[in-house]
Amino acid sequence: MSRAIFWGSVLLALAFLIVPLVLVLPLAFNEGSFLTYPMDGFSLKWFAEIFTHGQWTRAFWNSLRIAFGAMIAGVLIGGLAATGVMLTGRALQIVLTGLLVSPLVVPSIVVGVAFAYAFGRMGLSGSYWGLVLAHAILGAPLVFLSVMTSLRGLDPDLDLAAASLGASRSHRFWHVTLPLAAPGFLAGALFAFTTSFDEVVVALFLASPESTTLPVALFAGLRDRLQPTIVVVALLLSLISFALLWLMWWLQSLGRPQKH
Amino acid sequence: MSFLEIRNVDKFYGAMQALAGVSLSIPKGSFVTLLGPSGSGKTTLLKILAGFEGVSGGEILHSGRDITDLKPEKRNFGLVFQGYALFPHMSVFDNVAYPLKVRRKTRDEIAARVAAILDLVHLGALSRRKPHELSGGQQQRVALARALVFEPDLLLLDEPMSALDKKLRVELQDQLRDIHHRLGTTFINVTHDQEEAMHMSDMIAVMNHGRIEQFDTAHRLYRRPNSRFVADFVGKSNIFDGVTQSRGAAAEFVADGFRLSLPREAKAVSEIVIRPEDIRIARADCAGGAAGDIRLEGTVAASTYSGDRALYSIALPGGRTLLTYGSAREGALEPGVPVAVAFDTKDCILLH
Ligand SMILES: Nc1ncnc2c1ncn2[C@@H]1O[C@H](COP(=O)(O)OP(=O)(O)O)[C@@H](O)[C@H]1O
Ligand SMILES: [Mg+2]
Repeated sequence: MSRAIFWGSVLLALAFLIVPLVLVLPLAFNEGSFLTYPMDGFSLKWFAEIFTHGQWTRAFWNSLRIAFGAMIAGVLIGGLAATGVMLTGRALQIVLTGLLVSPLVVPSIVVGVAFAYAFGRMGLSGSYWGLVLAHAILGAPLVFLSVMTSLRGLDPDLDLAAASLGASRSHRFWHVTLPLAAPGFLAGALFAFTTSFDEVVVALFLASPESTTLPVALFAGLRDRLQPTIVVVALLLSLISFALLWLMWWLQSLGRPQKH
Repeated sequence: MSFLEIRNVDKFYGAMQALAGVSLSIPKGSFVTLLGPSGSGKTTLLKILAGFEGVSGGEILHSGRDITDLKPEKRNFGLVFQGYALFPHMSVFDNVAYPLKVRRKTRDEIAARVAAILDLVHLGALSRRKPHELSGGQQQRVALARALVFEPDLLLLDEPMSALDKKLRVELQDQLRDIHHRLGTTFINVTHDQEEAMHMSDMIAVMNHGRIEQFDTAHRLYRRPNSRFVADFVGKSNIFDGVTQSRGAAAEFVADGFRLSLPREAKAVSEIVIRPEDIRIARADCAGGAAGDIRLEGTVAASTYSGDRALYSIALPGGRTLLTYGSAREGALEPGVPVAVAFDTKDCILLH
């Protein structure tokens, strides 16, 4: 009985998540130019359109460059914050964790407005660096949390052992703590990358026509012309996300040595 | 001035006092064991020696130099952790090479010294393995090799045997003793196992509630305990409470069921201790019986036969029991058999 309920709810949840995707995705291969069933026939022409149209490829490269920059900056900010916070006392740890995680809690529309206003004054609005910085701040808490989890899981005796063997604090960090927390850094990096790659709201406020990202372009396309190109982009985005998810799973299984 | 001087060390965790006025002088090259029940402060003292914890009072001198506030990485003390704390991402070789790499030794010197120390702990063949591919006993020996390879001034061991099974433990105790003999390094070992302490140590510091009860050789701890706690914790013992009464010029210890005349100069005695092997036992109906200054009668309550001898628990009329060893050549006596037990005044340990 309880098994039936379990499987029933699992299937329901999966259906809820997957059915909309499954219903829409075939339209990427539609011969006709409308997003409706029945399809007019099978064709890859919308894929060709995406890759020949400068607008989409440019947005794709923008997204990639921004996500990459945001990932690196996010890992630096979040990773350093986590290692620093781990060295503080219990009370300070709670306060600092709250502060560092706050960008996750603030609605992205508020963050978007704040960045647009602040970057406008600094002359960063619409620039590559403005977007990288904004996305880094959104991604850093995720890096922070995943590195914290990794560091918390480390046996504190390892650091003491290294100290007793004569290693200075920085030697211990580079040769013991960092290698062992690497899975946390990698997972955090992937989170930061996907967060930036998928981000719409803040990008809408900050992107100029030249620095527009793929989600923003998609959003604009949705308003202007409802064509199968949009579904093609969505499909490609989903594939990239799945690839990243798989990569993360693979990295995590690497980090966990098999016990015998 | 001895090699390592611990002077009046106190340690508080908040209001909780983990160490109270601990003083020890540890001679160079000795094998010292800190022995005590769980919670008696052994690990705390070891952490203070390693430099992981500060003291709340007192000081620690190493060859006359005050090292109380010296960082752990500057002390040059090896440490074997209770859980070994091997680096999981490094091979056995890299684990053992770590302290040498930190000290910027050349590649050739590292290879030679790691190989030599792995041979010493019989692990030469396993140097490419990762820690999780080793058994508990092997991991323990890697930890030992890693803590010794840089020739520390002092080796600290925190219950290194506690996670191992009995047979392996005895084997490793012998190995550890042997390594100590060969290297001549000063060892400070922590354990709650009094047999392990007696087996390996030159000197044992018995700890209780954050204090050193007694610091002595195994033999003196066993034959001359200076407190009820030590007598009870180290080895098997029979402890009798009583009062001292003066009787003319002499004094007498009066316990439940017997009297013992005390040497003239003795201070008031509150307890006497008698070890089981100092008590003779015979069947009550046996002609010669058990001879001794003090004779008591009782019945066998329980016996543990171990081939070479039997350990008896004897029920005395007063309601207390007495532990004694007896010959087991004709098998152990059955429970319920009336017996006589006897011991001599000279074998009684007097506690004041
Ligand atoms: N970090 C700590 N904070 C608070 N109390 C502690 C801490 N470490 C040890 N203690 C307390 O100090 C006492 C001695 O502990 P410990 O040295 O670990 O004993 P042992 O190693 O002999 O079992 C115990 O009562 C323990 O609860
Ligand atoms: Mg302990």
